[in-house]
Amino acid sequence: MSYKDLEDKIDQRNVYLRYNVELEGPAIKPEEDEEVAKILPNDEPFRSIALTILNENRDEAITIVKKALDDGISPLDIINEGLMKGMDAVSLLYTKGIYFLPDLMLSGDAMMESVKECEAVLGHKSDSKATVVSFVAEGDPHDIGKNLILMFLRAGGYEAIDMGRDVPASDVVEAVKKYHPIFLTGTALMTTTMTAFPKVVKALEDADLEVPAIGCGGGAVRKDFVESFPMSVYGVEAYHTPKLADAILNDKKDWKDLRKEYSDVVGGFVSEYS
Amino acid sequence: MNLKENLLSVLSGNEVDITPVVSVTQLGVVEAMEKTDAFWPEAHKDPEKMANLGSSLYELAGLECARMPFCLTVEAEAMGVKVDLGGKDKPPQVLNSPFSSADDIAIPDDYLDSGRIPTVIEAIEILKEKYDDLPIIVGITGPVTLTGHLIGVENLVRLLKTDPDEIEDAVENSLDACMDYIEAISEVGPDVICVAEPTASPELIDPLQFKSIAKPRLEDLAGFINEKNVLHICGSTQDIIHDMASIGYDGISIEEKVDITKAKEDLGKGAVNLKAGGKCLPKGGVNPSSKIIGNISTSQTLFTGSADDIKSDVKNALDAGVDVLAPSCGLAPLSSIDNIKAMIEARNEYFNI
Repeated sequence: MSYKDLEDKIDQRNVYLRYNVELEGPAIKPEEDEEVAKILPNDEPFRSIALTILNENRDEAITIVKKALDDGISPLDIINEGLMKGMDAVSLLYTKGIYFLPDLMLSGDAMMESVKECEAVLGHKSDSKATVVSFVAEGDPHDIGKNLILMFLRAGGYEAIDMGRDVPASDVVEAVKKYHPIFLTGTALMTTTMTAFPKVVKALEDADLEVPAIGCGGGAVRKDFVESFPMSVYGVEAYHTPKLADAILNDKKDWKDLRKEYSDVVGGFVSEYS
Repeated sequence: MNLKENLLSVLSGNEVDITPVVSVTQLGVVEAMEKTDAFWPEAHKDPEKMANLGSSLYELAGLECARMPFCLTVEAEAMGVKVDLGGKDKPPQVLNSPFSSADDIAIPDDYLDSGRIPTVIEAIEILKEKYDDLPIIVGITGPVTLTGHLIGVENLVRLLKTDPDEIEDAVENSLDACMDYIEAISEVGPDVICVAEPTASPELIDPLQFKSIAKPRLEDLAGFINEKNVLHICGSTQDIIHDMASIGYDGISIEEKVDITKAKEDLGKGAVNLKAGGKCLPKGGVNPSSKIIGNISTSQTLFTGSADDIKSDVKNALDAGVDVLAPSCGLAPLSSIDNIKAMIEARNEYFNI
């Protein structure tokens, strides 16, 4: 028997266990991932800016962005060509299961701080496309999901109104009256609190209000449950939110369309909608 | 074999004729509160009501356990965190915490006499008195989740990346609080302790960090619990099933997002390796693999599903070889008792009883 034949017969897991080691993935840098490489810009300083976001390095991101601004680079280009590309790459790695929630949060921090620097030079907030209102279901104190949604919406150029956590349906109705949002997002982590979504829909209907769609999502929330009441669409990932808002704003989609065309709208395979 | 023996026997690794159907997670539902006159939020503070609601689904639907408390804020509250007990269909939630860093976390001198810890202990005693053969399951908060309550989940998740040492210290301090609490409830003799660790889910933290930070503490905790013990982690835990199963808990409770067949395969590999590898993994041979508990969806099937949905989900879970049938997570308070009954009937039908 050749060594090759023998090797094939060995359960490698036993070898790892014997030496108390574990098989891990290849040690590649995040920017070397093939799909990430396609997203990242090639021109400086945008590439360095995108890389700092990808590497979750807030301080360095701010330094490089400030320097680029001093060099006279347009703040809007920095946001769109650098920061956003970096964030797109982070979202991609998250989808692939290489990055996790903490990575999203830290990259998000780095990006939002850098955007602030750009806006300071711009002299005003970059023009917002439309208003979106985000809330956490009544009774639910978990707002990480909502904060991510806010971050992605703001990065995507929307005015995102943060209603905080544990928001009663009546407050959501008031917010819709006040801000006339094109899209609402509601998040809940627990099975025990997601029942607040149909209550919000009911309260809006009672007040004769309508929004094109309410994106509902979060830990325990499932598509079937969200689709059991009207005006809603199940949101799979936080970073899908600006894409859904774009579809509502540009293509006049509503919740019925979004339920049907979710995968196309977010531009990729979504197992929940297949 | 009575209900208690049946459940304990499964968790001890023995074969049983009938798969038990229990809930290791929150089981207070509004319909049962109405029938037992034990409503939230009073049932969180009143031992008599806690006991009544805890055993309500056994009395009303035939679920094979009593289970308390109905939230994960008992320990945090006793440590000084402000908790809003919520309402009839609104679970308690953490309002704010006096702690902001690992060093701040200290166990108060009157910890075991504070908040609702005495309530839980008294409720266990009431149930012990009342039932001889009904397993009593007590839920406690895991060290990572407790840390999340104490210093804020968002803070915890960020610091995990930027300052893991700080988090290790914090989790270590929280672990002490978990152990003190377990010691106190052990004295009144519950049958099963379920450690709920939702914050250690891969949906929040990196599986590698689960392994390096959460796992060692959960291991210490498992070794400390003398009762039968179960580890419940929410969300899609497929990536960490192998780690969960090799910690040494008698059972691991999983959600519907986890494929039982695949999980069983992972566990099987662990068992073989334990024999082959000898010393490498803890508890080798003694507890080769945890039993799988779960995973009837609480957000879909049990909450909004029909009796037929429940029947098919139960059949799928039993076919896949689930060891203990249970809801996948805490029951939604507005779930109907009929749906819980349907789950038990589906199990009975499967075993022709």
